[in-house]
Amino acid sequence: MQGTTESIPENAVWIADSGVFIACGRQQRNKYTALERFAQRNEITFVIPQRVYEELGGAPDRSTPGQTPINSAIDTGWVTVADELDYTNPTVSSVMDGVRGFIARESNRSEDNIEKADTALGGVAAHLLESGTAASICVLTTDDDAGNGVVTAIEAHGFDGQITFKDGFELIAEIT
Amino acid sequence: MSKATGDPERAINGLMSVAQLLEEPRLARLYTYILREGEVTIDEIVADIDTPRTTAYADTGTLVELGVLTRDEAQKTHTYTGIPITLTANLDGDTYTITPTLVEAIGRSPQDQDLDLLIEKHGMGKLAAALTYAIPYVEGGMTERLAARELNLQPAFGIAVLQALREVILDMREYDPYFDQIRNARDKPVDEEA
Repeated sequence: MQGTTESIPENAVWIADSGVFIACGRQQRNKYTALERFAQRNEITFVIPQRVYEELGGAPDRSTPGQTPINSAIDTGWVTVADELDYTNPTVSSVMDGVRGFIARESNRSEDNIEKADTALGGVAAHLLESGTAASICVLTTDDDAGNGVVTAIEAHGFDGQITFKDGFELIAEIT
Repeated sequence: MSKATGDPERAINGLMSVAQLLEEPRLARLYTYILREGEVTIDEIVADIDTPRTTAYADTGTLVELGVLTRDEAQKTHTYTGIPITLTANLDGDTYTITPTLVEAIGRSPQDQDLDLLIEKHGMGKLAAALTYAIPYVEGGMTERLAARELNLQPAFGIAVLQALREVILDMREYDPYFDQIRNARDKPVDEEA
């Protein structure tokens, strides 16, 4: 279900997960600059769920995520925080349920163990597609199961061919 | 230390050796480096891991005494080879199998801010537990956030730890003959063990 960078539609809206920014910051920090250059060259603004923004901001100061310059990325304009998710929207909540079911099965846990917040990537994707804000979505994450879960749940909702999952580690390897 | 001989003296000596490796990241790093390289000389150690010659002599000597390295003295230039270790701890039913992959994680910790912070704040046991989540994370079958939550780590910090251990796993799994013996948290959350 993973896409190569070439197969991702030019007009796709990219939704990025916490792990991508963390992976850019681990060990050599120049990867963060490479991600910024990639975004600017391709005229991409990475959309991050609020949950991602809160996670990065809440990490311990001395950890990699605690030192991720997410605020300056937002100020510069190549990252933007998504609107708050509307859980009463049936498409949003049903896609999130789909992601939750997928993650539970893959991780060998009961669905009760998967929190709604774990499925925020799917919720943001569903909202952007349903509202017509995006014609297609690329989910950029370092979490295979989360990425595959979003693709499965979105496609199950009839948004066929409008969603791609790009592995964050793979993209970083390509651009550095 | 790989063969079960039923020798109590050997078991306790092995336990003390592994404990010393876990306590000393510099020894841990040297041990797994040699294990991956196969056969090395002191010159190669000095060049590859940027360590003073005196330290390299002292540390290889210590590792030979601990029984985790062999020194071949047949040639004029001595060579060192790593002996893969596996040690299963069982404390009142709580079990863990230590293999070279955990030793590598400890060896890396001084140069990795996330592993270093994890050990400083939560201890080595947490590092060992995190490794049981990093395995299904790498192989598929465990999400970053589920792992972070079950490990009781702040989500983004938990993701950073998993990513650090992912690098350890990718570098070690082909050199660690006991890799499959490490517990896999996909089977059961760590805190649900009897």
